[in-house]
Amino acid sequence: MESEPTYRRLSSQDLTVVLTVSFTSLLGLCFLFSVPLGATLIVAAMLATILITYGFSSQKTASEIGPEVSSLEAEQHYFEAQANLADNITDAVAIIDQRERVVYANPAAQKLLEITSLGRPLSTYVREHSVKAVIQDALQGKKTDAITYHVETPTESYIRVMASPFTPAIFDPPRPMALLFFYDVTEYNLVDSQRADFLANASHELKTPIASLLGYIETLQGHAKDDPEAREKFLGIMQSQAERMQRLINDLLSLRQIEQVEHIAPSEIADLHLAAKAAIEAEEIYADKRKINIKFETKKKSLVIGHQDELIQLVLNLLDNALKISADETQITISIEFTDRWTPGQAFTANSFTQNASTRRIVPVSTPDKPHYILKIRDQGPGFSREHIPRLGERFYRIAGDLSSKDKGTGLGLAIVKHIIRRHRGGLLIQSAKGEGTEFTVILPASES
Amino acid sequence: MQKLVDHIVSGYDDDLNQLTNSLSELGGLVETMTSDSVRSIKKRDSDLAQKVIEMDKRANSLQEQIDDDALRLMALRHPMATDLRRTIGAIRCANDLERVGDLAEGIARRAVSINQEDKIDLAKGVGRIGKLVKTQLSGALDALLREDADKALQVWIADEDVDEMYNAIFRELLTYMMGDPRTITACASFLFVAKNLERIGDHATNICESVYFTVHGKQLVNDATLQGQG
Repeated sequence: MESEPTYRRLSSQDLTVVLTVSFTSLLGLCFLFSVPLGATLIVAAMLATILITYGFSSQKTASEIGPEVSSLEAEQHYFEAQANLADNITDAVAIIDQRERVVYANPAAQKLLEITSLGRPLSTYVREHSVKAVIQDALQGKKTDAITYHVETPTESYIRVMASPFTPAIFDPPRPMALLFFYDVTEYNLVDSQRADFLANASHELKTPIASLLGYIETLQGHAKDDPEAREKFLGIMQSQAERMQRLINDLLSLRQIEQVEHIAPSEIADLHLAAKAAIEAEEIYADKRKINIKFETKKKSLVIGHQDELIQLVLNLLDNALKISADETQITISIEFTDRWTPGQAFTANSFTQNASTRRIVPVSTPDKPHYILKIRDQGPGFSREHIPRLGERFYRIAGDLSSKDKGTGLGLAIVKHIIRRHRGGLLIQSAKGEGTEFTVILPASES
Repeated sequence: MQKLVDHIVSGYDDDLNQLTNSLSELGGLVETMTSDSVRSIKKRDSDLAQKVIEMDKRANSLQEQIDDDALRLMALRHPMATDLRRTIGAIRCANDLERVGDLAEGIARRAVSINQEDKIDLAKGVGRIGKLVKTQLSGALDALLREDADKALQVWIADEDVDEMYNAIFRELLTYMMGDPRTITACASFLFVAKNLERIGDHATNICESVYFTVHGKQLVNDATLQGQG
């Protein structure tokens, strides 16, 4: 074939150029990062660059992509045929053409940037101003440093983007494009601010029980020294304060644990039904003591995409809340339903409340129109009054009621639930009315199998 | 994955892409303005507030540019069907986004005066509604740029929560003012800030309505009430 020699020359040249460029850029990156992260990034980027370059310079010749096809279509054809290798790279890789349109995105990039269709400009998915500057430089053949940008939805994350100029060998005249690498660097950036938050929360919340403990110790050392009756009473109070501190620390730790992995959705399969059963078993003794009947009739396996232990904690926290606010000899109903297609309008439709119930989507469902499992926990407690509803799920937000201090929670239970659900990319709804009780609805993406 | 196909005249595609690019830039800008204006109150940072006030000029000029581009596109290319709705939608959304910019600027101006007052801890509620509104705005922009009608509907419905939160803040501030008249100046400012944020949420729902119209060619309000979701 006539075009063959020209094509070979072009492709090897291209390979050298891309490799040289990426090596220099990676050296730069190495200085920016401390060694472990730097090393990972370099290895990943090198592999990606080599794979892509080899992948794209495989068998096809320029004449096969005829000039009769319109340009965007030709580009998409080309990348579709050549990109098998890049598809298997776990880092997010995308290629944009001269007009900043995304002509290729590997599955990791599709997931990270939520790219739904090829051929749209990159600005559809990334609104960050600084990214625009970087890709424009790359399209003009200039090499720039990687930059990090910050997104807040759906979960707070930091993404580092690196752009290299890239001219596929196949097109004549050449079409300069840009090869983009995206790295999720949330862990490295969020850890610091979270640690600060954690310390602030922990020290503030532990102050009260410690002050009270110290007070009792002082009294016991002083005038209550020889009064056995008072001593017993004070020791009891001290014990409950210490237990409270322990609960608080446990909750803070699990909250922090969830927060650290929140930007990574779970990939394993868990059984929501089993999780609910485990939670009920854990609370059974306490419920029996107060003659509260927990009704749970669903018997089917409910497989969702999730983490089993986190799901147990989720149901346990919600059930624990419901038990705490319920009066003795009432009933709590738990149900699990399946829906083929969750739509936002489905919320709050089938319910047992009167007109004056308040509703709120504490976490809205981020992937509607997919099959979901719906878990509902309905109690016959006093219900929340309107002004509390918008603040539920906030850290340390407690509704001062007539709960005895023993039953008082840490104010973190719902916050933990909220973070678990966010991590699972699910939804959390609440509906409540004074005098009618409260219903929490958890919506979790069903597993495909 | 869905793939787009070119129009026969590539200049037409360029024009449509240019609209998306400008909308994305304007959207990103007013997003930053909204979150920065709230942050300038929370962190008592008047310099940041000043920067937000400066940014509004850029937002205004971007809106004019989008208007001009859309008008030229209509005059020269005679867009049909989805393209026509997309162009009209761009004009409508640019208008909403520009208003969001103005409202954020208003918040920043309030921030400058609030920061001169003695420190009172009222910023928490404003921070809360600010975060929610920012999520709504980002959601609306995502829906707009991706032309995702489902996402638009979802954001549109969730506006209820913004209203509810605004009412809660309103009552809270009222209680403070009744309790201690010295806080009235600051509380009144906070009321305006909360109101502006609530208005930004309304503009986000307007954008969602435009997106729904672009995609389906039907008005969301009519559709949603028919389905009993209104």
